[in-house]
Amino acid sequence: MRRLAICVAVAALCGAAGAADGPEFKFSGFGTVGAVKTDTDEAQYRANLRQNKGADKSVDFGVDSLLGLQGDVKFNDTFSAVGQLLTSRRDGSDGPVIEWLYGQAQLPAGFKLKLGRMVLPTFMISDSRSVGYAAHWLRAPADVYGLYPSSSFDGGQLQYGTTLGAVNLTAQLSAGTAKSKLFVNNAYMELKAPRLLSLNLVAEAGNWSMRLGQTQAYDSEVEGLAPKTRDTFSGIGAQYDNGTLLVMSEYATRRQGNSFFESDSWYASAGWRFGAWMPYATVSRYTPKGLFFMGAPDNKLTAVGLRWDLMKNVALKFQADAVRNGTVNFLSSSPSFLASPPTVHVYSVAADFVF
Amino acid sequence: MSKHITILALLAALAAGASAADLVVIGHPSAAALTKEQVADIFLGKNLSMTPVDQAEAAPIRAEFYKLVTGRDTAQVKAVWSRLVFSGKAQPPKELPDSAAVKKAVAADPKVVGYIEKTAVDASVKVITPID
Repeated sequence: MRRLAICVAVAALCGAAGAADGPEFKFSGFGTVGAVKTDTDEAQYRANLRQNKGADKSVDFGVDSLLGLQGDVKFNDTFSAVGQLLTSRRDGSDGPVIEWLYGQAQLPAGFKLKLGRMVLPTFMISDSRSVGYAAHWLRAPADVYGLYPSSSFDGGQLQYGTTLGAVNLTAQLSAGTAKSKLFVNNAYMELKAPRLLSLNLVAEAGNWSMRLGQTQAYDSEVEGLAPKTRDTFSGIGAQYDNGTLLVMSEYATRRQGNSFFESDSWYASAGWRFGAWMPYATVSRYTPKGLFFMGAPDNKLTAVGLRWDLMKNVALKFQADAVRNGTVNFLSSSPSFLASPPTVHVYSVAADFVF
Repeated sequence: MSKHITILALLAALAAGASAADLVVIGHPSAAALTKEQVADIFLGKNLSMTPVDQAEAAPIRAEFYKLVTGRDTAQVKAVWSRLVFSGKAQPPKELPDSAAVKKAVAADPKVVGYIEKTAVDASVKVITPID
């Protein structure tokens, strides 16, 4: 299934490359150069579950740094294809991986069909979660964004878009398969979701944007850790951005057929733009539930930061986080750290760029 | 202190200058009128049913247009489009060298929307949104 989808996308790319009219090619890229340090050597801080190393009192450059290269090919008004290579620290390697590769067809009446490897729309800004330049914060809060490690899937997606008065509506129905690797208990374990079904609804009106979605993974499993079960991940989010004030918040829940990994989580973030400067603050909370986490305390994050649009295409960001009980965030924790987790302060600086 | 007041006065003057803009949004002679909000949606990629075209990146009219219609400066608009580009949804508006080129593109395609100085309007295009 996975191979087939990619083959279809590649075939679409190659097939149309020979079209008589000549397709339009566009290359672009994005990236982040980031440095992180914390105030403890008792545990390492990481951005997500797919990282096997993190930052402690000594500076680490791998937590946030990444490079993305994207090619867009437009064959005609109907057919186009997108490929994206992403290089970052995840799944035990720093090498480039194919994050996306899909062909798409613009169908009549506002429908669009995509086949190949593409983003799994589990959050409000899933589609650009690697693109630091597009976001106000230095990194998305792991209490929410860390809960769905598979950022892309292989399969198909049917999209419908329409405009009702001043409201732009988009619905995406996706089906396919996803895989990623989680670094848990000092070893990589494969997270498999062989049958995914996802619905994502977005409404945008003026400065407002709202999102509602659910992703079902039938037979989801973490090999060697959690047996196969049905995993239901639901989220709701809203954003207001009038150019000066930005406020956004999301709430997400995970429920499983065997009640193994379950959770409720949310974040709220707000920022105010003063010309090229944008101070912001984020709070988030993750409440573990289910049999695996029995009695585990909530994770809490408070972060303050500053985005500075330094020059054309480059934003510089500073962020200070206070992290408490970061289930997603900490690895290689010492016994004393695990016994009574302190509040860890994380200091980050990053340059986000696009080209 | 007096330095701050001077800067504030300058900023106020700049802001006042920008609001006295004489620019208009133009479309094909057969195009329907659009509200300012609709134009903002088109130029921020929220509504992909029309094709926006931009003026040159350094042209003052471009910064002025986005400030007046979307309330955003050019860096913010760049961030908005980078999200759309890197989610594979859309490409940013094509950049044209001057108002004459914008008029030509608009006159040639009923789906194209552009913005030019009020004084540059002629019979080849139609003002679909006046900006005050």
